[in-house]
Amino acid sequence: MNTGLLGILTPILFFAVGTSALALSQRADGAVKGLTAAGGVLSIVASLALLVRMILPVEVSDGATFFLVTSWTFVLGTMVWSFAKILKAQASRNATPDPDDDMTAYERVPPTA
Amino acid sequence: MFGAALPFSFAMPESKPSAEAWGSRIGLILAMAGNAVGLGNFLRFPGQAAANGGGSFMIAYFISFLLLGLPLMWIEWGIGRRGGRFRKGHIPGMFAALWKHPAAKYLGVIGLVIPFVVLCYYTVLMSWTLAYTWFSLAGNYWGLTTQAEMAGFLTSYQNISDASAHEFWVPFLFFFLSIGPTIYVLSRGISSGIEKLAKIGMPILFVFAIILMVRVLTLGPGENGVSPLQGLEFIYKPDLSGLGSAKVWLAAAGQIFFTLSVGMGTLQTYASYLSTKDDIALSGVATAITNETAEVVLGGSIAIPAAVAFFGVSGAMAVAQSGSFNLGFVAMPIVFQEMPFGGRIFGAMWFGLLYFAGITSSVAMATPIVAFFEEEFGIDRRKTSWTIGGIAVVFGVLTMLLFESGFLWEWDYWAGTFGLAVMAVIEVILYMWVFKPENAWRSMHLGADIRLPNLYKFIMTYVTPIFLLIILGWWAVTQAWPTLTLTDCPEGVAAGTLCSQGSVIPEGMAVYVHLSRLLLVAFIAFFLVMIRIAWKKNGYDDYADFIEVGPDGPFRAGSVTRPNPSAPQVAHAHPAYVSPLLPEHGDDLPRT
Repeated sequence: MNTGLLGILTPILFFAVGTSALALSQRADGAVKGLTAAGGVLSIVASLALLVRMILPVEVSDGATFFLVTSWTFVLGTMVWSFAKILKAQASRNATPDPDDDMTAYERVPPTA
Repeated sequence: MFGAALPFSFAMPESKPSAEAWGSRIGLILAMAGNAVGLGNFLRFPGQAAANGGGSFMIAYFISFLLLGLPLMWIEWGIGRRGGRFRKGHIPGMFAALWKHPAAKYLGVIGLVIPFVVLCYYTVLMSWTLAYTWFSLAGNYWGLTTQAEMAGFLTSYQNISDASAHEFWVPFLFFFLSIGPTIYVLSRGISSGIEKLAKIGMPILFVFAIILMVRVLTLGPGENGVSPLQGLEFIYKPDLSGLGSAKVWLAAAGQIFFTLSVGMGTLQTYASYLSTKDDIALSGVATAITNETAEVVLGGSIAIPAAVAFFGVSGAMAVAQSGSFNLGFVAMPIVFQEMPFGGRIFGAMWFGLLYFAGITSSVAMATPIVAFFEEEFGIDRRKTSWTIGGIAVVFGVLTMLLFESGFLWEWDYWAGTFGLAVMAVIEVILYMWVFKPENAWRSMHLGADIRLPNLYKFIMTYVTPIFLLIILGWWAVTQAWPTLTLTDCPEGVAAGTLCSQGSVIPEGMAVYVHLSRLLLVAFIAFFLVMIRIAWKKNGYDDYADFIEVGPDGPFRAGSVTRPNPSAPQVAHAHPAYVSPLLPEHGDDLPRT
């Protein structure tokens, strides 16, 4: 278990680089945007893997640690992203309500009700 | 509950007050996720991951999620919402809305039979979790610390004739206590019943699972000196050689298939209560990934790490491979007894979370059938719910009485396993090929909050159906045929012995296996007849569009107007309503 100063600083550094790259990718376009975002995600995954490596016992291999962190990051990251997007979209919808919105609501009641 | 506590509003516009509509977006997503999160997330997933190479399974699993799970999720939401605009919350109607052919509605029978049959036996499985919640709190199995003893306790519960640990009436009591709330919630409708249940049940489920995960992962090493954290190695160990194995890929694809509840007909019914201004693209992702969080992060971090700590790596592997229910109902109770403190509470939490996972799914299963009778025959939802619930009770009791014969597992295989794949193949072909990819793609993007990557149009059109056909073909050859011919015997069993899904059928009980199949055929016949009656009664023309349910259309809330059966069935729109129908295929797209 590497808990030395370098061991702690390295994941922090990776995380900082990753989040910066993700932020920068928002200002870029096309392939640059994709590459910067991918690099940012990879960097964040690496930082998390290094952190988790410090917590898990040595019996858990580096490979298992990497798989665990990658899959959890994918799942939790996508969940946070999707709910953040929903929040943003909903806020936008609430800010500019569509007066005709009820026009498409399929109010379904039994025909003989 | 969860939604109310949030500092922001997911509320849908107030102008959609209909009882048969979702009240909020968070409620919709939680209900959809509740439908998907079931026993498989916490029992089947860890067993499958452990038995199929850990890390290599996980890679195949995530690729399957991207190529099979997500596309099917979007397809089912799309089919459902499109059906809803024609007031069709059931698969026969949805299929008929996609394909103007007399056969379409009959193909949809699968979307009524599957949820009905699964409902009948799933509520029985759900009752086990409720019973074990009580047994944990009351300490009924305390003192049974070996796998053989706990297996005996479970067998006595499952087999009504075996009263060694339970009186014969105990399983029935828990069955009635379990199915009652399901029917009640169903009868309350979409926003007052299903949505409320999801808003209460899902947060409880997640809280219980997080508490259990933390408790399990912070347990000290067991008698074997093995840390529970090593259980994570058990699931995530990198064994890339497994990626060359068809078995691993099929196991991963199968798990994705089951866990998302696709092919059941339930997601479509839930989505049918949405309008074209509601997003389905982003909501589909949110639903699928919420299920994955419950499965990968929580489901993978409870049962296996706990079993590894107490039985060692090889012991846990043996338990996982012996079956998901052994892991949950035999191994886990032993683990709870070995916990230094709070074992009963943690045991109750474990089975309680399984119960909540089960009830949110079981409610969803009945919805397509309720929608069918409500919409096509005008029967009140409450009456339909209690009638269907009553019939499910009858067949549930039959399932319990004949459990020993393999009656339940037979239904589980044909309806809950094989049938799902058949249904998924049909719906992908109808939506992406018959309805055409362009229409499907544009339909999915109506009201969308995100734009789906264009690559997914190709994946949904070609990759997903091929993937599904491979799975279906593989299962047909390796499992369906041996299961059908009762030759699926474990190694070492004498020739001529009758077996079902790897278990020997007890002497004289094969007749009940045949009875279960006969009932399946009878259900199919019954629903086929009902579909025919519904179409005749309502005067639907197989070659024309259904009458569209516009805001001021014939089915507006409060209206008692019904379409004239003798009137020509053409696309209808109220003059004040600009119909988004396209001339061809009845696509849900704005004319612009």
